Amino acid sequence: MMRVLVVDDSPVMRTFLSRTLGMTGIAMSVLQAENGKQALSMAVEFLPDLVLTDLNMPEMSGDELVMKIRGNPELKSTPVIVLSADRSAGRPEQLIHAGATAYMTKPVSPECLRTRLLEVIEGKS
Amino acid sequence: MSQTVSVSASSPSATLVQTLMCRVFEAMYFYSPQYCGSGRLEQPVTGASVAFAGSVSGELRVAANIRLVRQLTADFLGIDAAEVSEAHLDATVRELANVACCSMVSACMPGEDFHFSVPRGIEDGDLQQNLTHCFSGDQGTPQVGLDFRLIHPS
Repeated sequence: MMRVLVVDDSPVMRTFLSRTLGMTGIAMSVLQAENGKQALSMAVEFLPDLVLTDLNMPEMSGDELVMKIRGNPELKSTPVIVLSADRSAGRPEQLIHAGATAYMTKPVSPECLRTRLLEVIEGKS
Repeated sequence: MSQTVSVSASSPSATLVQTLMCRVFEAMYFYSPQYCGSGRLEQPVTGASVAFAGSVSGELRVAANIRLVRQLTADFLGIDAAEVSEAHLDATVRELANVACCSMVSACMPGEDFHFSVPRGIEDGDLQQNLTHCFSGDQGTPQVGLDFRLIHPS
């Protein structure tokens, strides 16, 4: 069973993302973290197959989480999708350069999110 | 030292706000409100703000009628409105402020790099004021609105 780590400081977004993941038709267990710091310790412990993270969070941001994951030998090949409302110029490129697998901007419909998730998941497998 | 000014000519027009916010409401919440200009929202309301900093700095404040926020949350999560908790209401209005601010700033100042704050709740006392851009539902009463302010260094 695939393990997916969802990282967002919003409980509503965590629930939404977990439900959307459940609609992919792929058997998976979804772990949830409230910020990058909590996510990193959970990632080290559970070694997820995919990380789906927000960017702008307290404690540790999505940028820093991506860099920490890429710097960890056990996690460095884990796909990381960043989902953020931030459309600043160059932000997607910054995150991809830091090691993110994909960058998606909000607002995003469940259909678009599901399609992109499947692309990344299938790309990995 | 800085001064706060309401955004007018160089920032979001009513048309731009209407276009961007309707896109946000429809994509996230399947909600299609009508733009109704400035006004005071139907009470009680809840609100959140997001600050941004870059070539210019400022803040976007969003407020919404609590009954509407409950319904938006329910529609977003695919649950019954009765199942929506207080924490959900707070999270929904913060997320709405976050998405609205990022969309608005990038549309007004494309090609620029900005830092956005984590959304924060607005105190009750600050939610009684008129908002510059409001949206109404079927009843015609303003249900959700926003203010967009720039802070120019003097």
